[in-house]
Amino acid sequence: MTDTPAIELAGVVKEFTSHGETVQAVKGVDLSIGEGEFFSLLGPSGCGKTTTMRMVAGFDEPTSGRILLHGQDVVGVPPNRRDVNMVFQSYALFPHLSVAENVAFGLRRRKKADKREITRRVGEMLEVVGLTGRERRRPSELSGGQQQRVALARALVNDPRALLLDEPLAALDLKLRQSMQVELKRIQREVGITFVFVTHDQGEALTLSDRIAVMNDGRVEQLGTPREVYERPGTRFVAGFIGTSNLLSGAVTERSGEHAVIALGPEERIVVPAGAAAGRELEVTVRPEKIDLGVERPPGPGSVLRGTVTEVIYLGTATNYNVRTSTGADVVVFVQNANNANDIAVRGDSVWLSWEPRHSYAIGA
Amino acid sequence: MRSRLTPYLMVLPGGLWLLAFFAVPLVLMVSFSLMTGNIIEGFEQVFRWQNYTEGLELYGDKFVRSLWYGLLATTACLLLAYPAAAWIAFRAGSRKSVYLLLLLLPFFVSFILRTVSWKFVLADNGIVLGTLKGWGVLPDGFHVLGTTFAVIAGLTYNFLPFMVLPIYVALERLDPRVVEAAQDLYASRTQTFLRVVLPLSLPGVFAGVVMTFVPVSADYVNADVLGGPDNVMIGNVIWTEYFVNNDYPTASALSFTMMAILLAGIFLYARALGTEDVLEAAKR
Repeated sequence: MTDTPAIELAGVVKEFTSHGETVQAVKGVDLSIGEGEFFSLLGPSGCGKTTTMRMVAGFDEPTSGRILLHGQDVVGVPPNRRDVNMVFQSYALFPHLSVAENVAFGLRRRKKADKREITRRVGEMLEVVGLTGRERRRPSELSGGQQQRVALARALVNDPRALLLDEPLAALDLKLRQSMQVELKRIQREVGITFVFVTHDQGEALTLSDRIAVMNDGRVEQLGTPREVYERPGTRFVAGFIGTSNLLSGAVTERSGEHAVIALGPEERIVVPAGAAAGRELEVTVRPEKIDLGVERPPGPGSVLRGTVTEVIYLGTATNYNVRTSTGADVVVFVQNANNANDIAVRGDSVWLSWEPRHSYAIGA
Repeated sequence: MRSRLTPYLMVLPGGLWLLAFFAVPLVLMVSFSLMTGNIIEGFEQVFRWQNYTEGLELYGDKFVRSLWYGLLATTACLLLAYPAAAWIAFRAGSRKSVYLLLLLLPFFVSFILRTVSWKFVLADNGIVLGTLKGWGVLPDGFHVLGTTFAVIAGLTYNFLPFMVLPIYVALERLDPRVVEAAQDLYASRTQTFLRVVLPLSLPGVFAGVVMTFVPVSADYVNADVLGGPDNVMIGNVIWTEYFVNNDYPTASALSFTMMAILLAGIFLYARALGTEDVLEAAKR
């Protein structure tokens, strides 16, 4: 990574006016994306992630704020003069051009290479995306996955400063999506270009990204590595949006060394590694796979809760248990089916839930 | 069994209609075109092919003029229609249907009436020329009516929507993301238009040209109302042969000659510029 970030957004706001009403789609976004980084903008539809990306590409101009590409303010610069390329959700391939002509389009417009050089680079790029031999096909003659690769090659062949990908895998079926994820990661490593990846699929973002900006309602809720946003969600929204998250709450009753303890009865408690003082209300998340489920009360210093199994869902590699705790919270427990020949509990059973203190995470504390 | 017959049953009413009012008259006219005689003594089928050769000899210049006018008016229509269609498709936003309605509004008035009102507008001392002459902008002798320009202008005006609509449909279907992709891939506005928008709208242009050229070349109203003796088109000749001279064989032969010329023209045009090849040509 060099010192100058590949892409920088400072106080970017975007307002749209329709039918006399002004709507803020992006409400002040600050981001700094490093050279060669695989960066994801993750959020539900309407969170402003696509608008943010379109402003970087130049299709929309920010109402206020600055957008810098390699330290240069590009606000007002048309898309064809910005050294970034985009992969569209619907691919947006040129239907009247062949695969090779689609890929050569950008090189031909820039006139930086002669004919032979263009042919060579198009061939190379088609090899990278595994489409050698399909040069003369029309986009309509290709499968969805192949069209996706053409779109990728068409952008990457220009060797842009950054590649912007707008939900590029959304139109593919699950199997293909998974293999394209691996492929994308490989290609990114191979070409070393900064990738900005817009997605609403948290699994995809976690799998691919070096860093993720979780967006909601026009703002960045949390910025961090996949592990950070998953293990230590900064807000309730992030906890709920990324993965399955169990949300528990209660007032701190006592402190025990580094930990705050929320006692919920003589035998039940939640232990949180947080500096919160007694009396303070905490919202605690714990991931389903961190919880142990048993029929007897486990020993140890961690969190312990009692509950009743409301549903058992067999998933093949694992089993999900839905448990209603004695305090009335619904908790999901994810148990790997590594050693268990049979289910630990069935619907209606009384069970104990337990987890280590470090797996509790207090939101915003 | 029922499901296999359904498509045929659905075609039946339209098919019968075409048979009764298109195919049968067409056959009758073919028959007429080879007859001889006159309206008083009656016509007789003698397979007189000279009706065709004589028609071509007598009115060859009118055929050429009709095709020439068709070419001029179609070109004028294309130049006017493309920007208008593009503007409605890309820029009109939610008011698209309003502008399309405005475009079609003159069609709610009779074709003849529209053309006749042009005569009023363009009259030597009418509201336009009269005013300009009054201001001394134009010399007293200046006139528009009775000139080729008036006929071409009238034809262009009357058939403009036939060009706008197919082009509009083609542009409207264009995926805006494809246009954005071109811009993203370093194409300037001009390059985006020439490399992407225009090639993808060519099927609409193709349809528009056919839909305009055919009726324009066969028109007789504009030449009659707005033109002079030097602007007679083949449509006027056929009209006169039919309704004034009652020479049905000659009129029929001329009609079929025109039809053959137009069909051959369209065929060649489609072969030369047909969809796939148009796109090939537009690539580089």
